[in-house]
Amino acid sequence: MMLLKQSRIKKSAKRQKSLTESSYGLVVNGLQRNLSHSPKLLLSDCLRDLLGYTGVKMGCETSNCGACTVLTKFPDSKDYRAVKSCSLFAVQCSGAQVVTVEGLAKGNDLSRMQEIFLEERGLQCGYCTPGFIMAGLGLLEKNRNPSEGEIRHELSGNLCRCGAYMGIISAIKKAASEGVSLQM
Amino acid sequence: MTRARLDRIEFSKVILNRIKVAMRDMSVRAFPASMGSAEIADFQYRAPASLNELRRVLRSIPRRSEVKFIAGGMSLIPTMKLGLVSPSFLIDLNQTKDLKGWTLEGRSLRVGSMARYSDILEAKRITRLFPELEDCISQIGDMQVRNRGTIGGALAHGDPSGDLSSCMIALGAVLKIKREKGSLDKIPVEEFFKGFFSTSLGARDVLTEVEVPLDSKLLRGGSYLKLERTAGDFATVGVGVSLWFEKRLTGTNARRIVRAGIGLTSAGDRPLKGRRGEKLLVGSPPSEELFGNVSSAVAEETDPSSDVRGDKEFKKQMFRVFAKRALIRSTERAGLRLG
Repeated sequence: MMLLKQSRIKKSAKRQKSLTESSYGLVVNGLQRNLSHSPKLLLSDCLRDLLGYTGVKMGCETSNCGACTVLTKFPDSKDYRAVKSCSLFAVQCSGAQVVTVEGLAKGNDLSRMQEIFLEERGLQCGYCTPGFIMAGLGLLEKNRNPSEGEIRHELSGNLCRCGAYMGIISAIKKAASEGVSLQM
Repeated sequence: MTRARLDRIEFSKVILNRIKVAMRDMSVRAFPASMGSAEIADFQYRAPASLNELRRVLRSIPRRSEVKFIAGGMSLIPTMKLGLVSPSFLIDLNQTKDLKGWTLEGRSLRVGSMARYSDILEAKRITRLFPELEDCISQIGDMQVRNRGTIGGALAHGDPSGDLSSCMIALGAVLKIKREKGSLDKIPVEEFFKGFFSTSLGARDVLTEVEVPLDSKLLRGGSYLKLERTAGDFATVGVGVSLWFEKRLTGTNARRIVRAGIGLTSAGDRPLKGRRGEKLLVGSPPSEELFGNVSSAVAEETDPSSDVRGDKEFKKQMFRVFAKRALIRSTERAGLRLG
């Protein structure tokens, strides 16, 4: 009797779970991840809290600052596109490829874009840097050779409160002139 | 105890209290992860792969349950974070293949409601034909928002400060709506907006396509001008102008305007059609004087509200200035000069 009751409780708990949880798979930095959680979890929270990619920074959480920018490639698109991960539910990325700043370096070797940010001093405190690097790579995915005006316009969704903008812009100009892309 | 000493104690109590409050705030901020989705109420998620599947999904949801569609989510998700919208079912249209893509053939441009801003900006065939769309979309939000936000989502949101809505009004777009009962409605975009953030979409109706008419027998030019406080801000004022001129000269030496569309952003409780201005334009050749009169009529027709972006009088003045500039630019883009 006791057992029957318990199994009923378990069953109803399971049903409850299946109603409020979504199971799906996505690829983050080349690794397949199969997840199951509430659909209200934002991609940014999923990447940071569930998967440990804390390079995804939380600044405003209102889609203003761009610190949480990551690159995404959805099953129906050819290219990677920069999106703000705080403004996307993680379940919406079912079947997608996601790249965070952790996906750029190979072991201890920084990617070329990261090196250029150091060379050009495209940062001061560094909090906004992962967002800028991913947004910059996202821009170069669309436009191999952006003008300074285009760089300023396309990066207007990322804020740097230290004011390292000049360094950031020259870093992205340099990256464009070297033909840097996500794969480097 | 002396008075001064009492004051000091009182003072330190106040300070202590302030520190406590500040620490409490900080401890909340120390776990930002919980903040993002904290306000979002639980919902069930569905992502139909086609319109047929969508119909089945909708049928399976009880009538009393609140349903919300998510397109790009660039407005909806922030609204959900604020707890202003809390549907029990969230239906994601991002997988719905029938709603994607665009076609440009025959007499119209047809854009699926789930086409993204960036899809349109990257389509040179579209931006060459409709420069006002490029003007407009390139000024919406920022790159990340344009990568995600959709044409249909922008319209269905019904925001009076939505740039795309007024641009589509100027272009004379027609919207296709799949009603819950299964019927397909076609309505002119200006009739779609019913009031402040309200449209003719029922809770379970879906906007499927936007059709922009093309008339190759006419010469055309268009532009969209926006005044913004900071990069990526909502429009303080926005003016979309589309002009169609006669292609062949009829006797006189100036080409007359055959059709005109004016759409106004942040001009009232909904995206506004500048009817008075349009009426003045049709039948006349473009001239400095005409555009002066039209822009005054445009400003008169607007009813912007005073807010942090400026007071009403300032905004009306800006509508006048921006309408005139947009009229001139549209004429120049048609390859014509002012008479």
